[in-house]
Amino acid sequence: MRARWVAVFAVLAVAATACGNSSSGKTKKSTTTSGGSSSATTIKSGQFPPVNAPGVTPTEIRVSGVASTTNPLGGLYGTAFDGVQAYFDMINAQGGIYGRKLTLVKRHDDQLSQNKREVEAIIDQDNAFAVLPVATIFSFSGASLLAQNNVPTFGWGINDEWTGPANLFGHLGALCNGSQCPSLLLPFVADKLHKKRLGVLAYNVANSAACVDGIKASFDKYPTAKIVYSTKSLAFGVTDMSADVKKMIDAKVDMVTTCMDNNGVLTLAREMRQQGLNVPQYMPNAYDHDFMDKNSGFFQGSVVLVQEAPLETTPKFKALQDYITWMDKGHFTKTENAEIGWVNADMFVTGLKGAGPDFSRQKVIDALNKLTDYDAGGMIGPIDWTKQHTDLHYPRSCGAFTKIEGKNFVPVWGAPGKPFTCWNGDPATFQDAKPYARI
Amino acid sequence: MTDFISYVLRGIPFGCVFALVAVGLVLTYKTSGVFNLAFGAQAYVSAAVYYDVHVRHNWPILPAFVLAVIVVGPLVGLILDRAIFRFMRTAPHVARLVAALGLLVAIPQIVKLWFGQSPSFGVEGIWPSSQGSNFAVYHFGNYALNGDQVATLIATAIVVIGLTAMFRFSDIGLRMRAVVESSRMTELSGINAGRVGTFAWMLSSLVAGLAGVLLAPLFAQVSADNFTILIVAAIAAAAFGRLTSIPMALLGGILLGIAQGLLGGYLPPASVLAQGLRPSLPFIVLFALLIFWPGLRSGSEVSDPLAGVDPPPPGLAALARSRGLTIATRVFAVAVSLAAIVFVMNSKYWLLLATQAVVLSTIFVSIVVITGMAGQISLCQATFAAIGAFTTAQLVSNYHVSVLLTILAGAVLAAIVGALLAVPVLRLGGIYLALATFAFALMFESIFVPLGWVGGGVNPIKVPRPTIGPIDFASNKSFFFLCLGILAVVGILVIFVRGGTTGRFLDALRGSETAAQAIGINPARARILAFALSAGIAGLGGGLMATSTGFAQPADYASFLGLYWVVLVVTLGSRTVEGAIQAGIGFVIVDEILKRIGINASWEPILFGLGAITYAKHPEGILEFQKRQSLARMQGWLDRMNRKNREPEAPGPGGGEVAAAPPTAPAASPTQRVVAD
Repeated sequence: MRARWVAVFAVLAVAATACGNSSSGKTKKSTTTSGGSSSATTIKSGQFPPVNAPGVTPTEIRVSGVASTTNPLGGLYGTAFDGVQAYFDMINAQGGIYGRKLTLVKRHDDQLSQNKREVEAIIDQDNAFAVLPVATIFSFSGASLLAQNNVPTFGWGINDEWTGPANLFGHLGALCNGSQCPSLLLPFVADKLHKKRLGVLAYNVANSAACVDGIKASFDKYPTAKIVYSTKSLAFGVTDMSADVKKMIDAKVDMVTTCMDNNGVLTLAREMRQQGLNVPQYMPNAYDHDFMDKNSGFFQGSVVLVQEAPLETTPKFKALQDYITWMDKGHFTKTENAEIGWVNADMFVTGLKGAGPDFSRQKVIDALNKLTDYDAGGMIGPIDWTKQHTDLHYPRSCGAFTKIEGKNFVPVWGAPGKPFTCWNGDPATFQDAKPYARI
Repeated sequence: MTDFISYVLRGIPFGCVFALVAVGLVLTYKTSGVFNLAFGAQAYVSAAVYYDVHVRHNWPILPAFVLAVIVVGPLVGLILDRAIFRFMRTAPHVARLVAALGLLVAIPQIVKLWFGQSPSFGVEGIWPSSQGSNFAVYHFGNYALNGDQVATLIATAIVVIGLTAMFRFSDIGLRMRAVVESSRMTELSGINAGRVGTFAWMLSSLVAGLAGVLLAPLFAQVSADNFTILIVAAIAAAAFGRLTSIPMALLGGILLGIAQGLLGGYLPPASVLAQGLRPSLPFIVLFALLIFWPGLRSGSEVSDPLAGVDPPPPGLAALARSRGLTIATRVFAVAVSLAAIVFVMNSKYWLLLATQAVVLSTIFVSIVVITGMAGQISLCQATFAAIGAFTTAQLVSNYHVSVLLTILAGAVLAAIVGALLAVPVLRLGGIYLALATFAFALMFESIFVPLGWVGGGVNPIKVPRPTIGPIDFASNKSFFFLCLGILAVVGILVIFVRGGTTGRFLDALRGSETAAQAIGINPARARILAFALSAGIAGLGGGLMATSTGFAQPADYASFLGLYWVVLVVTLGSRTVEGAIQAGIGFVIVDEILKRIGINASWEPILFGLGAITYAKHPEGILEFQKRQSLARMQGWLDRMNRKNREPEAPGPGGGEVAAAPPTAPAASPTQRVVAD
């Protein structure tokens, strides 16, 4: 109950984040790419120097995590734990790290708005070396505690609190929302689909409104299409979009995007079908196989942005294949959040390896912050951790796109085995952004 | 003109959604006297059952519908009546409203325990179509309806016609209304009120089940929250029917749908006006109807003519104990408190929990003032807390004012808003006042919170810890003691107010407003004062919460969270400051205990939600009731001990004086005042 109307705000935080811009894909000279299964350190514990750090024993490295497992949105945010566990299973099967097993000691549930409390519980009671995953949907209010205690922390980087502290590693790097961060992604999609007249719909909540501002700024900078209808006045929950759809028909809209959750997206799609507005939607939050399996009829030809490598990528590169294999071994459900958990765990292990056998929290943090091209073996677009804690004006320049065909997410615009379409840096014009790099 | 007609016609199907729920609300109120805020939760039960058997277990539509609507719907009504509401037929309307609030909190969590947390996408309606009920589209000239809308239109028409005919032409309709009017009078006429009441609950629950199954496909997945949001919007339509007229509720729903369509059509989509007005229309309409709609304005709640024979509620437990026992209990309380403080000082985590409990207790004291002292149910205490929090945050962030000063400023602003709100709503009384405060909370949330200068925009506004001269409360320990000090000041203030003139006036008004007026008490003045004080305390607590968490984030002050707060406080004890503190501790500690023993966190709202049902029997709260029982037992034991000690002094048989009677606790008179906390 505590998290009841919180959903209104919470879901929009996700929607707005996905609509906005975040981490960098700027490709530079690579200092390292990622961790992975093949290079796990498999030496007996006696061969390594003792480590005097919280949560580290001669036989294990303890981590703890927090996610919005209980939430009114029905989202499987708690599956981030499964992604971490699957990755740890893989590493432990190879002997662990520096002779120690990786142990996820506790799965905290922040129930949307109890993040600070659960983070305090982790710090005070779990004896954990690092915190992962953090998959909190509303506010990462425990971030300041983790920053103060210098705990290496890895998670779903959709909250603004991920930006800044050197020990917080969101899966996308720094986060930027709103009009100050124009993005290439949506103008690129409009260009690819040859769409020129765009409709944008959002709820009347701050995050959602900021998302609309971000979209407007994107098309101001990269005018591949024109926004001919936009509204930020829709109510969360049951909302009548009949007038909006009629107006979009009158304005000859040929593509629609939203800053809403799946509920709003589906309501809009139904109304569009009812009134005969047969145009594609661009959906930044809809990579959910269960949702699409039940509702794909409304979304044929629509485009879904995926923040991580889509499972449908072919051929499957090694990290993606490892993910699928170890998730299946653990009988875990493969969701977007699970994949993020996997990436978090890979980032953590990469930091441990970089820190060396006499690792400490600070050494792990420092090791990660030297990486300029971290991509978890191709599971995400590359992150430059030398800049990505603070550089808000460093637009996200990688995206994996899929198109709905039948009940399937079909990867588009990438290359075989390389799902991400990337841009180098922050091009001044859309024309400057070509040609696209594919990763 | 074509556009106008187009927007009107497109608004009708949507209006029927409101209408169906509004009709269900009116039906329940009319046949049970309960303004059933849990109607949406009942609808959710049937929707979840339908989804489970039809989508997860592939039952065909018809048997799934029969099970979910025809079997489970009335069964839920039967259980609610037999277990709860048959014991509340003579209870005040406010008590029944509190019970419904408790069910609103508890039922969805009970269903979730069975239904699970996994997503439930792909809800399919009952309209038979090979394409799926919401995929099938039927064209009528320039307009189109999908299968779900057609089903809702037909079902709404059938329900309205059927119920109207039943109330107008059948005996059972008349009997149901008579039982609501006075079950005791009805029984004197030879009618089995219990049986009629049970039938009424089964019928209204059947309609809830029907609404649940019909409206579930409107959403991407089955979720209790969607139904709760829907019911809030539908209350406006029910109010249009004065909570008693089914055809008017239908009309109200349809008009609301049309108004939504017209606003969507004619307001510039990107305008601030559209942003504020479109989503909040149902709440504005509800608030306006409650204030201005004749019939609702007069607060014409049906009351039992025999209610006057009911005994008055018992006095506070603390009034009935001896001086020795009072001292003993206070020494014990101080000892336990000191031990608890020593314990929490040794753990950062427990210190955080303790601070959370103290801050919440401060907010909960505001509920003691408005509910425990003034006898009114306000459902916007979280909004007052939000006003305090946002004022604090904005002043600190934009004007760099001292944090403590901004917290006080927030409290003052909340008190002013509370007083202004009290002027129109207090004359409503009872459930209408509760609904008006809830409408106000929703309006605030929908119109003001999204504004950057109120809610802060995308990012919650940061609020630092306060400093007083050289004392910096940045450390968790010093901040805890600051919060404790503020709670103590607020608690003592409330105790003094309760013992003073205003408190006595409010007590008299709770007993009999007419009698109180006859002796010169101005009810409006006393209640406005209580409302302002309550709002000010909530605002103070809201500011404290913002500086405690470090943010003023809207989610911490959500209107639905405020409902939970009310349920919690009235369950545990809304008449004393001690009750508020116990509620604050309970809010934090029960969750922690459940976690530590590995029980699902859903049990916390279930426990407190179902606990609210006891409000009718124990309006003083469960803990206050238990305290009275314990004190009575302890006092009896002390009396026996005293008697035993004196017995040897008594002369033996055959002579001497008769032993003195043992001292007994003085009987508490209604006007007697002692410090009870």
